[in-house]
Amino acid sequence: MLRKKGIMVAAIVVMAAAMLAAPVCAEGKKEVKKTGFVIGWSNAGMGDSWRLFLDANFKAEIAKHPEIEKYYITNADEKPEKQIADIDDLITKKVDALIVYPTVGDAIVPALERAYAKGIPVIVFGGSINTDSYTCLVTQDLKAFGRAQAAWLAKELNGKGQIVMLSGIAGNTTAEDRLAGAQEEFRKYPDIKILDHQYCDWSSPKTKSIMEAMLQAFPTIDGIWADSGLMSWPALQTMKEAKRPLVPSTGDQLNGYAKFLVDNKVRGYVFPMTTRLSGDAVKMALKALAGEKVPKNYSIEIDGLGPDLINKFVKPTLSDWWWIGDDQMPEEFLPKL
Amino acid sequence: MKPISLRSMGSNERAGIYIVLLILLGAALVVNAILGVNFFRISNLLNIARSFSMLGLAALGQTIVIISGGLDLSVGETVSTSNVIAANLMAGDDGRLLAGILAVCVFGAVVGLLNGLLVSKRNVPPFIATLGMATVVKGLRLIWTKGMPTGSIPESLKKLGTGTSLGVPNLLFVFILGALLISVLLGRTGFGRRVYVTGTNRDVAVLSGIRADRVTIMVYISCSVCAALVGVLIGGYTGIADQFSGEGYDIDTIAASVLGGAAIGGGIGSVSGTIIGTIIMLIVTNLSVLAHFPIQSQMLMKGILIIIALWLNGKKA
Repeated sequence: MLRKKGIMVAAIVVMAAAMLAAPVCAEGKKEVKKTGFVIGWSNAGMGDSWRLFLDANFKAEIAKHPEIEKYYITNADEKPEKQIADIDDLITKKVDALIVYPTVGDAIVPALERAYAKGIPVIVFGGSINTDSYTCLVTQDLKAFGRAQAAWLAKELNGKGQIVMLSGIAGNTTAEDRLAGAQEEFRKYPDIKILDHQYCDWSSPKTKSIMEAMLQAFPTIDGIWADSGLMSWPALQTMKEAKRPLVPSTGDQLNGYAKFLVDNKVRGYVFPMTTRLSGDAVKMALKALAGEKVPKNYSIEIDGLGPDLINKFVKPTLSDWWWIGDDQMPEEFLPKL
Repeated sequence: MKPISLRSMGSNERAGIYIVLLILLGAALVVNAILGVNFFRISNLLNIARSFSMLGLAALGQTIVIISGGLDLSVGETVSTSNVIAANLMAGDDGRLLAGILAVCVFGAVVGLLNGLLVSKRNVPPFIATLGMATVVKGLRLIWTKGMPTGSIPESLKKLGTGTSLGVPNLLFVFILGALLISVLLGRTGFGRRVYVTGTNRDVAVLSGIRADRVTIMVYISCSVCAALVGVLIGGYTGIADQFSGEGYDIDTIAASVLGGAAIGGGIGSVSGTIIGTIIMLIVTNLSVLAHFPIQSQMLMKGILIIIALWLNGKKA
């Protein structure tokens, strides 16, 4: 009887020990997922051609990785409340990694925190957010953007001359960061006089009407700093119509701006607002999923395009709204016109 | 019940905007004298005239709607989309100019018809109906272009947009033609009388035998066709197919109309008032840029002028 009791107690002890040890053993044997990943991208919106290239770069990068089984893309149509719902939806779909291009950073923080709390790697790109609940923030340094443009223009003018500055929307982070960088750079050149700075809202008709007024106000303009080809292009067009000599200018990688520079043989500098952000976000997501160390903040290195490279990358037969240099991907992923 | 008046707006009520215009012109003289900004140079005035022609034509379309008691918030997207349609259809070919303009007018008419039907037949508040229409128009445009407009503006349209005839911008001739037509429509036709009556008191208009629904539909069609034509003109002005070219036109056309004395409640408004309202807005912008005022000052000045004009108009509900 005692012997039977002893055997029973021993069996219970062994079973209890086995149950306690099982998770540890299971962990030891647990396999890290290496394939079959599901990636979710919550996109702020698809309202313009730049976003189209963002989408193309994303899909081109996804295609390079057979370990990604599936991906979802949601479109928030620039509405923060929709983006919150989109992110929650992606969490429900059990995505392995979440990539976010924020509408309004602060507004979507709760949704990001929910995803992060569930252990989903959260990669944010294209905007800042006011939380630490993300795995990696992929950015392009927009002050460096403005500085590079200003440095080129200053060098082009041999450090001397009168320029006008055209920015996007007043108060918009992208516009203000680029402007801040440019102003910082121009301060190094005391002989470069900034005649005026105006916000043109990245609008071609508004830029044209403002440039017309500037041409009235200033008999001599030696250069145009604009944070985007959306403005430098109509600005140069206005100078041409007013029969004023065309001057060196800066912009981004808008094909229409590049075409104007090449067709009119005027020197310009293109600093890309790169759409590689989405592709690099995919890379960071996969690194996180592989258990590799991922930087909290990752800044993409970008080089500008001077006149020679503009000549090389311009697409004379394609839409003015093509983004040159961002089209370095297999043709199947390029936006269809 | 509001009294019905077939007069657009009395000269007393319009005094406010004339006073504001005089104040502005006085300010322009002072700024010009002190800063030497060339405001009164002919070339600058011609530049203002071009911008005025486009905003003015769209604002006149908006004024017709406001007089009828409505509001159109789809003007901006209609302008943008028609700009893109025009560039795509014309494809840089002068031979396609008229066909492109016709197509754009049809597009505008369809947008206006849908707005009018929603407001008149389904009793959707104009604010909601036209805002919804704006979203639909934008969505359709993005589906069609995928965010990348194609096509180009033909040289003949660029000449219309930037050229002059007898020293006067070609755009201004287009505006004058449009303004004359609208002025005759509002002031000299039965339709115009019906628009004012419907805007003043819709119930009485119906009781008087006026087909208020039909009036509503026609005013929205008129507004959207004006907006669509402005989209074409902007294409000629900038030389670019820009799907955001109409941004801000909703608010600016309403501001120009209201500044010119049009009453949001309906029944009051005039072509001449809207013309002055538009001129006031553009003088402020132009003077601000010439004098290098920062954007904050520009916004403040515009806001203050609108308040002063409305205050001096002193229209009681």
